[in-house]
Amino acid sequence: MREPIDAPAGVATRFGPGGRGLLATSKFLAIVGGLVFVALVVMSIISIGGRKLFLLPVPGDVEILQMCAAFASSTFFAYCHLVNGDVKVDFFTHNMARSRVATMDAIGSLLIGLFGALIAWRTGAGALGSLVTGETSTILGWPLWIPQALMVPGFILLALAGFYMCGLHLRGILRKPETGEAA
Amino acid sequence: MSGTSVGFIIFGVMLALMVVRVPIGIAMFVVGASGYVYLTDGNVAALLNSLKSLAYARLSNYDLVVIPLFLLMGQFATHGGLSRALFRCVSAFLGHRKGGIAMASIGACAGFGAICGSSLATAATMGHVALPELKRYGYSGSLATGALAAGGTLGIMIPPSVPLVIYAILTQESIGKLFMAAVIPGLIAMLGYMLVVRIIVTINPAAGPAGPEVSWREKLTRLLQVFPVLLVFVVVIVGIYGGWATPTEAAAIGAAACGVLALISGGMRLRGLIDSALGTAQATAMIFLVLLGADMLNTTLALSQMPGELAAWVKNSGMAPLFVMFMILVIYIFLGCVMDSLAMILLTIPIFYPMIMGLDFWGMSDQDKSIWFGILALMVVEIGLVHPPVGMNVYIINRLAVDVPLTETFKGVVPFLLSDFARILLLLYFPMVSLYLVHAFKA
Repeated sequence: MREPIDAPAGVATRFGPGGRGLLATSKFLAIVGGLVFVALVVMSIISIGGRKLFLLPVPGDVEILQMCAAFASSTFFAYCHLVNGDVKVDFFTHNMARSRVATMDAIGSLLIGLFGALIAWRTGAGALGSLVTGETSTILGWPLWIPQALMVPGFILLALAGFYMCGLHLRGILRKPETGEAA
Repeated sequence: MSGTSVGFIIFGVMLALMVVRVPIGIAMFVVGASGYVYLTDGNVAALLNSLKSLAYARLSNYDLVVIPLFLLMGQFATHGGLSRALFRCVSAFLGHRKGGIAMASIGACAGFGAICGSSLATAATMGHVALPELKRYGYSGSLATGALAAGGTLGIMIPPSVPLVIYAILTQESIGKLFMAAVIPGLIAMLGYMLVVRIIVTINPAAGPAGPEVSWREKLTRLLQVFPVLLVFVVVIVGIYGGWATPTEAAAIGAAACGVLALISGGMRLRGLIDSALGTAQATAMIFLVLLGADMLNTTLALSQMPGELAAWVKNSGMAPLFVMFMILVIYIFLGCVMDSLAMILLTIPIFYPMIMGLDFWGMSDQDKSIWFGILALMVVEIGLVHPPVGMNVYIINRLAVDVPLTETFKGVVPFLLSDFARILLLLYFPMVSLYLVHAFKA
């Protein structure tokens, strides 16, 4: 398993220009998502304070929190995969040749890519469904297709990250068959 | 093929995928989705339809938002310099004793655990602060790193605790009650670790020399500096348990308080804020990917009726309830050799929880049983963080203590592991230890 709180220093050193662009985009999106959570903290404080002190909460605070949290969480996945943050079992493979480990990681990344693409597609379809039926949130009456649609870019980025990492692992094996590096 | 056999095949394939390094969440998702199609007689359309809402339904779950918020709180706490203040405070009171600096590291870990829900973060943060001090006073490498690796697990044992939130969501248990129930076992864990230090330095005084005496005036000053930590902890736990705030709101209050502390006393600026956002992003994505996979898996397991049938089989098998519980705990210890604590909870609770709830333990009520089992599961999955071969905390501390060999650190945690086992037996045979506060302060 990877260390999740370590600064991912040096991760990008083997990335090509495309990979660096992907990492920069994912990182930017993840920072945006993280700051959305910071903003949600501020909103919750205002709402709790307002409710306790003046009996005046932010209307629909729970709904805003839910919608924004769904969007913000979706922005985190691609970044996490690019810095090797996934939870993996590496007990059985840590003594194996690096090229073999890289092959397995390529398969893992490919599956991540497919997962991202599948979820992006289905979440997009879900958003479209909500748009057609005109589904809205209970209290604020906000259209529900918007938060669902906002989640799609995060998962598209996850798909790209998965496919990119898959290619990176494979390239490492092909280029250096003896010492093929594992990420 | 019966649903239960499908369930077993799903588990087998999933474990095989995990062995070949497929990310755990993805392994769960792949077998869950395949099993779903099989159990619905090849109805791919039904699967695709249910996937439409998977991500939004899960990620917009109100209770689940508590996780990124607690992680953000931990990030702010890390940037806020609170770890140093905690260490200085506890070492002012304990440092002059033999082994006192190691005890202070453990106490400071417990304090940090009270505002941080992650063991790895606790170990890493306290390691940075305490290791140089332990080295300066000539502590042996195995005692210094062992105490910190074990102390780091207090991060999840003392609430807030991310695994307990996951347990609560899976079992629809109250987060507040689980947090309350974890307080005494967490304190026992801390005292147990301190006792271990005491025993080690009694046997080998050179392992942990005494530090300097600190004046009472200085002690009070340092105590005042950690007062905010205590305040945040009390507000969060009492707020949730007293029904004054929902867990999500309490987490927001905690995150805000730690953020303000980080701004004022820790000198956090834009750079620190961005680092906190990224740290939260990575830790959250790691957990949520496993959660999305587990959602798919659990839908399929429910469809296969395997958990219910297995629970009924265990109930009717005539096995002694305590024996069943014991076996479950042993399985956790073995799983902990290869798997992350959260993945273990997500994977096993849907199977083990109905089993435990179907058995009778000293006539305990369902509510008590579910809280008691939650605390036991937490304590036992946490052990995986310090025992070989995975022992993430051990690796983190060892990486920080460059001059201590890894085998030394693993040797160092053994006595602490013994105290873990003793505590688990205590909690197993005396459920009241976990349930006392829940009963004493009925909300």
